[in-house]
Amino acid sequence: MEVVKVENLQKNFGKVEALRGISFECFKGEIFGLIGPNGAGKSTCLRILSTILSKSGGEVKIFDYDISKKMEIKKIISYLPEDAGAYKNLKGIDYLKFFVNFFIDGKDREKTLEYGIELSSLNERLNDKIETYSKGMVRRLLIARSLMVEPKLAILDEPTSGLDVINATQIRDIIKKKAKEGTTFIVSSHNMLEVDYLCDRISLINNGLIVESGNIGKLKEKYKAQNIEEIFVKVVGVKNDF
Amino acid sequence: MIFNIIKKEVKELLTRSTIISLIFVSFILGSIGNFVSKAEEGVSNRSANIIVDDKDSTELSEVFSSLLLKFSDKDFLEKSLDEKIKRLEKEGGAILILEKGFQDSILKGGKGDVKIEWVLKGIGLYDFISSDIIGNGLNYSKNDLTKYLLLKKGIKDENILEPLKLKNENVKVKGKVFKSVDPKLLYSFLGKQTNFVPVIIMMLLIMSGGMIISSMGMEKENKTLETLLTMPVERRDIVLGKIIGGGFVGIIMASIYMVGFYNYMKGFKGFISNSFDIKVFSILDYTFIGVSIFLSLLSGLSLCLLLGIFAKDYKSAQTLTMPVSILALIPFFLTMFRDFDSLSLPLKVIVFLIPFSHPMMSLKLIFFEQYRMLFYGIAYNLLFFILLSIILVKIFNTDYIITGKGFEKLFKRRFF
Ligand SMILES: Nc1ncnc2c1ncn2[C@@H]1O[C@H](COP(=O)(O)OP(=O)(O)OP(=O)(O)O)[C@@H](O)[C@H]1O
Ligand SMILES: [Mg+2]
Repeated sequence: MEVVKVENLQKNFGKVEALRGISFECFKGEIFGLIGPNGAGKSTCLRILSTILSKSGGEVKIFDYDISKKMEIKKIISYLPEDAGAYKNLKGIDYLKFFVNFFIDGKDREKTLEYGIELSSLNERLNDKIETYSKGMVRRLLIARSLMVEPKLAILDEPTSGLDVINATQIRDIIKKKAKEGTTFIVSSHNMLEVDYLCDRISLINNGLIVESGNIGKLKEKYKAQNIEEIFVKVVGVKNDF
Repeated sequence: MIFNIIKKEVKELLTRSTIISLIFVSFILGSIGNFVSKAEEGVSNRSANIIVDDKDSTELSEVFSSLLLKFSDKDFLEKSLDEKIKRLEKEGGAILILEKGFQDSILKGGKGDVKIEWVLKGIGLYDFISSDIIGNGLNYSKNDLTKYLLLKKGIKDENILEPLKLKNENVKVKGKVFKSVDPKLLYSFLGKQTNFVPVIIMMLLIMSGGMIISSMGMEKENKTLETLLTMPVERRDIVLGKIIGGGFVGIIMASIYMVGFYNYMKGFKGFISNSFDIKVFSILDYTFIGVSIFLSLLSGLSLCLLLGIFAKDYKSAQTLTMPVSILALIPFFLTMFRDFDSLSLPLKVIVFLIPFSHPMMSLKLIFFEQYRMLFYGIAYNLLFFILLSIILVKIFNTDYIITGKGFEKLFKRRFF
């Protein structure tokens, strides 16, 4: 079942053409990777999918809702911005409570909050102010925030960038586990190892255009490549900075 | 090496927006200074509207009356009595009444009775200038009268050093009459009373306004705004939530300051308030003041939120607080110097349009029962708040809130 369907999506910032007509789709329960170098248009695409930027052209559908049905879409998605922080003066636990209240009313709040606490694995540190957290702790809190409400679609913009191996692995494992339970993920990344480990299908995006899409294994076969970086180089023709 | 650091600091701190707001500040301070120097010019002109009513018609009373009239406005002197009274009512001044027996009592070693009927244009600082001039004039004339008695009449009694008995009869301000009170005392009482609210408004605004702007800056810096915008809530609720939240914090902080301020004020109050009767404010009046303050606060905060949208991060948010403080300073000073109704038309327009003016004027307006103006102010603030909220929600619904660009698009679309 198609969860996301993007067709000829375009986005201009004044004269800058950030997206020049991209198309892809994602299916239920898969982890879809949007892969590309800096400035390729990954964040722009994810921001449009999460309804906070308008599109300049093309079609976007999420669970059969047109992207203009913002309120319906917001109820079923979660978005994690790149380099996001949290309200520094709040305690971790209050940060989670703040966001629980947007989604669930009444009795289920306790349950959702408990799940958020579990996902964050921050334990008693949740009672400290967020300003005292390390970068990895903040990221775990944000991931917990975005997944505790059991979204149908989670849009994560570089969920592990800037984290050490241990923290990054923890987060990847959470994502994998949730995908098995049926959550659909769109993640962006320029870490090829991560993509290899995490994603089922990918689209390679460069300069606002999707240059190749497909199942990672099949792409490797097609281009006779060892890894995704190699695929990218072969597709684009030049070596890009990742 | 240190120069390298100094250079970087200067570059970072002296951005275009700081410079622009500094220019704005100096411009405003300049115009306020202008206003003050004009006020002082008024004092040094040493002329006011004076009518002398000489009921004694003797040599001494005539001498004294001509001494007094030296301090009167030259134009004013040439008018007929009817016109004089009309102008007095409009511009303020005083009627000095030399009572019957003025000369007799002085010559007998007593004091000549002089009664003063004051007319004030308003109760701003500026409006008390003419009463100052008249007070000074009375003093100079008294000295000249003493000289006259000494040199021309050859009287050497020490009583002639104080030949007058002055009595403040009434002070009339905008149709209200205060019995037997010195205008100076009236000013020190009313001035302190009516400056109380403006101080609170300033505090409220600067505190919670600053907070809301920096909160926007922080939300952008930490990308929490992006997250918030993907929550299933109406943008309207986000906008109103921010404004009302900021207002709430502002009110709490202001009330803490108010306790201190109230105690400070208590020191001045006690001894004056029973020396003349003063309008007692009803609960309804206090409600009006409260409503006026609240709506003005909401207007101010929505203005701050609008500015906050332009803040890219926490630091640039800080400098944006300045224009709002300045905007609050304009009515603060103007209404301190003059009452609203004695401002010139352009100033009236400016003061009316600034949403912070209305609660600042509210005490005075209620005091003189100018309720209509009070309601206009409240209605204006309500309108201002609603309009700005609509604009804010519109902006929150565009890319601008995220990208800081695409503003043209906002204006291309139909606005309301
Ligand atoms: N607000 C904006 N105004 C103007 N141009 C923008 C804006 N946001 C993004 N762009 C431009 O759009 C293009 C795509 O940017 P985007 O942030 O989507 O890239 P990205 O793939 O997420 O890169 P990165 O890996 O560095 O995060 C870039 O050329 C960028 O300069
Ligand atoms: Mg990006």
